[in-house]
Amino acid sequence: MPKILDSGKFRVYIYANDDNPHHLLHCHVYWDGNDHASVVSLPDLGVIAGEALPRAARRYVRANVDVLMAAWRRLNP
Amino acid sequence: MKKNWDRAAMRFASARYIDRQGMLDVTFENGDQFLVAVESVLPWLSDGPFARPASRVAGSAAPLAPLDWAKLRIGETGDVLEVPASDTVIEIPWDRIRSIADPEFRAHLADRADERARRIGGRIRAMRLEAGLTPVALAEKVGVSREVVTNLEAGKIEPESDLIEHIAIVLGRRLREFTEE
Repeated sequence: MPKILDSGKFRVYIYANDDNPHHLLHCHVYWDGNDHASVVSLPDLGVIAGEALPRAARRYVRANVDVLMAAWRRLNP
Repeated sequence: MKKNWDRAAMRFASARYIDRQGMLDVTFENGDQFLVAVESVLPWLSDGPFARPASRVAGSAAPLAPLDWAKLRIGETGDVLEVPASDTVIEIPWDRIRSIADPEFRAHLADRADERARRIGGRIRAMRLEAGLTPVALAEKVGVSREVVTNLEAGKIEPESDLIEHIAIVLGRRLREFTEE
């Protein structure tokens, strides 16, 4: 499973095979189980789809954005 | 009217593999249905018969065992398809399918990519000015032309991760600083 981060409240995934025509780097963030989710671009955290990130989730993802970008490069070379 | 890319647009309602055609037939919870070639979703399978042992998983050096398309399933999060192989599971996220099969989503991605380029370009310009550098000076430090720096700052280039990281290093910044708090 490509789960990169798990705070207990928020889970962040980067999938292999997830590149797109614009090579738009992104991660998938889930919270409150699987009912709430957002796909955000990296490293700017612009919302591509889903809900706006809760403030605490945004802080968490921002603090780990270097880890996420490294994971993207590894999984989507 | 622009489509709402909400949770229902992300989650699969059903998915099946059509063996004879090598196609995936997927329906999302918002009712959108697409027929998409497996070769376009997983291009590293396309140089021969599907799931042949020489194929490799992106980001992995390990050879890929044959995929068991009969066991295709929707993952726990509802927005990823899972295809078991003997020693792994290949995951196909919802946005990969839509970026290939859905012209509306491709147009949406283009808009988001433009916005990202403008946001990152604005941050690069602000960081450069705070460092007291001219565009030419930054270009020399990064090893690109002045035009690249100018176009980056204007949001006219979709910045690759390597270039963003290189600029961050040159300016002594952290990647998180490309995100507004």
